[in-house]
Amino acid sequence: MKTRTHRDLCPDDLCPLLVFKHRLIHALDQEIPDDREWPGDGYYWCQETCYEVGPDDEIAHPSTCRSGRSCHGGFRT
Amino acid sequence: MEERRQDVEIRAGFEGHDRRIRSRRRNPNDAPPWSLDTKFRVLGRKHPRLDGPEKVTGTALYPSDWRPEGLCHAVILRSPIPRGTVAALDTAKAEALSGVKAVAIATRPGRKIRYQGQEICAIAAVDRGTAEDALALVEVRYEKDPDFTVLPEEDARKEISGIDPEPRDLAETGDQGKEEIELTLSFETQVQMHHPLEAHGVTVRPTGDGGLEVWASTQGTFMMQRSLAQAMRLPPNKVRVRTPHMGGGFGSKLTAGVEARLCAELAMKARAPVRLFVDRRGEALAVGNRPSSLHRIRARADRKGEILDWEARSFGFPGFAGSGRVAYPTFYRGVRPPRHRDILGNTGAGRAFRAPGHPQGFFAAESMIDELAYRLGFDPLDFRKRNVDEIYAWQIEIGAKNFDWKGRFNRAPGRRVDPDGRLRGVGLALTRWGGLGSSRGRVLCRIHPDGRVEVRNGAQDIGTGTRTVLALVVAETLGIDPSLVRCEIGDTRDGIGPGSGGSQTAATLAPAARHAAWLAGRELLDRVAEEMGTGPGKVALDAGKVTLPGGTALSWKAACAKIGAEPIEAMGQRYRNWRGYSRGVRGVQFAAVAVEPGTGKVKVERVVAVQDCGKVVDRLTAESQVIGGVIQGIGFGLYEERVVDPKLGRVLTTDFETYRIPGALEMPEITPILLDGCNGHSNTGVAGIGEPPTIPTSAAIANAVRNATGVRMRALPMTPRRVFEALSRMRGGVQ
Repeated sequence: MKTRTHRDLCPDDLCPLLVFKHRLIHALDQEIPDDREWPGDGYYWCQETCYEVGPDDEIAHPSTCRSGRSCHGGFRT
Repeated sequence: MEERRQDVEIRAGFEGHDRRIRSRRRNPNDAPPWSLDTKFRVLGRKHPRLDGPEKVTGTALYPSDWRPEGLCHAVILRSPIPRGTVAALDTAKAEALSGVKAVAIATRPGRKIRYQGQEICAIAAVDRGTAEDALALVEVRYEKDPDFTVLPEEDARKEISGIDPEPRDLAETGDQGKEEIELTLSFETQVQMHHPLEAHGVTVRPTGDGGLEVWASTQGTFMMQRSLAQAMRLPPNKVRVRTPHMGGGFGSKLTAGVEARLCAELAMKARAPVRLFVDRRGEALAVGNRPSSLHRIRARADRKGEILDWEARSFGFPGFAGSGRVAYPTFYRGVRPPRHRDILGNTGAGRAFRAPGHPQGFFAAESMIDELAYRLGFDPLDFRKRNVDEIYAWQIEIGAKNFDWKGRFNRAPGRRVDPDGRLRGVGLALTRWGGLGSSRGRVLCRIHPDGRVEVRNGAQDIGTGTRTVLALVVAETLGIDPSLVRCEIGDTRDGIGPGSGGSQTAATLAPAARHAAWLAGRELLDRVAEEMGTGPGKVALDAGKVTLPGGTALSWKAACAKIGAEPIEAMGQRYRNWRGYSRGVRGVQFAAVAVEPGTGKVKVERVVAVQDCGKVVDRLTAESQVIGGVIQGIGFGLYEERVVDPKLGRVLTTDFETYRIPGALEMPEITPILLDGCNGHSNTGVAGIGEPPTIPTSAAIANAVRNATGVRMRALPMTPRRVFEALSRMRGGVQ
């Protein structure tokens, strides 16, 4: 079975402002040892708000920090 | 100096457990790799920290110490309710108070409240007292939502009970007389708080050019820079982050938190420096935690000591966001990761915490493995050796010999009472981690004409000794005395470095430091050769001396005097890892405990911690890392626990009177045994060990309690009350 990495679990349209540990420490190519659906350790926060909640008052998470969300890419863009 | 080659074959691993690895260096400009055959002059020995005198004399400047002229102080107003919305927020009276400089809003009217302690607003004033007075003048109206959940563990317990028709404390479904046994056990771990000595916070000073100077207690200077720049709409180069020292971080300081954003906003509004550090109550409510967990494991094993089947479910309870995912020791043959589900609630969000998910999962899985061993009549040490590879078996043997496992193992658990009235026993558990470093590091090495060597990098030292590690690597590479090297770190104006997460810092920066020193040393030789009129390649650096044709040599200082007025500068790179010897580091811990049967009090008397970490740079700081990890593991195993009132939704353990951490009286004798080797992943072979030593400690203690008392503790922390109740149940015939 092909080993999965954190990079494999990142959606193509993942908001660049969604932060998680493996993105921060440049470890996206680390192999994943279990059946998790999303990259990282499961702790996500928004670089815009410095918080686990995005600028739109909704939770920051790879499942929702995608294109189409009102704050995708930051309000600056 | 070593000769440059593109490909080398090195001997890596440990003496007696080594193999030759062909290192495909991706970049031929990298320094030649160290190997098991390298003779080290500096590395591997005990060196006091370079910044030790500064720290013990109080002259080391921490971010919370910085007091620029005109400093204002800020405090945060937090939500008293766990769930609802902010219906109205009026800060006019607060802003009108004399001495108040600025107000920043965190949760505007109409926004959700998700946990007690959520930031509502922050106020900066000329002093802290005025800021607190102003805070009392803020008028907030909350719309409470009574449908909050602060103990979602109850839901998971019901779900697990539904799976197991016999939700007994200990459901033994097998028959000990048969060749195989099957056990089903549940385990629980608690919420552990971060509580670093220096709280989360920053001091921010607006600079004349529209930028910010930020003194941050952070695990990631560059991450803080990037995050605050984004939040404040500034180009990153307008934010300078400085962390010359910081008072600890265990995963929750990796980037800017809300308090940093609020402080930056206040400083920009006030046009003055502002200091905002979270108070201890805020630390308990809002800066992250290690989430609690619940496990149900069913396992089958046979009389040969083989784990035949393993099926596990786990739940994590990370608060309003995050994940409580756990990790199991899947290096045991037969152990598989659990099927996991998170259940959210209305408490502060979990965050990365020193080996996220591992202490929880290892407590459950190592306890299960231990119980299988007892039920099958095995010595738990022998049972483990049958289910791991030869490297683990070797490490277990090293630890067992030092610990005197055979002599201490209690063959009559619960029945052997020592003359002091206590029950004594021993336990062990294993650990594993990655920590091989990333390719994100640039280190500057500068050789001055007077022989001084300067090393610079912008990353922080979270207390693990990064300054000392970089200086020693440079000293070793150049063959000079470490006292000649000065290391400056923690300023984003210097070369980029990693965040201190994943035990990555030393493993990332040590190779870049070696590369920088190697390049600078080559330049030194070129300049000396030119000055002495010898041809290039005819001089060499050996043991801190420059040897010349004809057998003569220049001392280090004499050689440096020939480089001219300008210092030599070289920027070292961290190249990508090679395949190397192993995928990470391993270890095993042994614990000896004494249990008072009349009170249930557990005293850890000794811990032996065997840990490999690739090449040992400074044995003193590396041993400190291991000891620190064990201490935090003791806290997790015996003392630390967040308590929440389920009716009010409030955290009750918001200070150190109510949230216990181990103190000096609880400390056992801790013996770290570092296995010095070379992992072959980089030019230094260094790996990180910030996290792995804290993973197995609570499991080893629980297993020792089992050996002492005959009782399998299945919930952490093992407080006197829990142990006493478990002993009472056993005495009553129900376990």
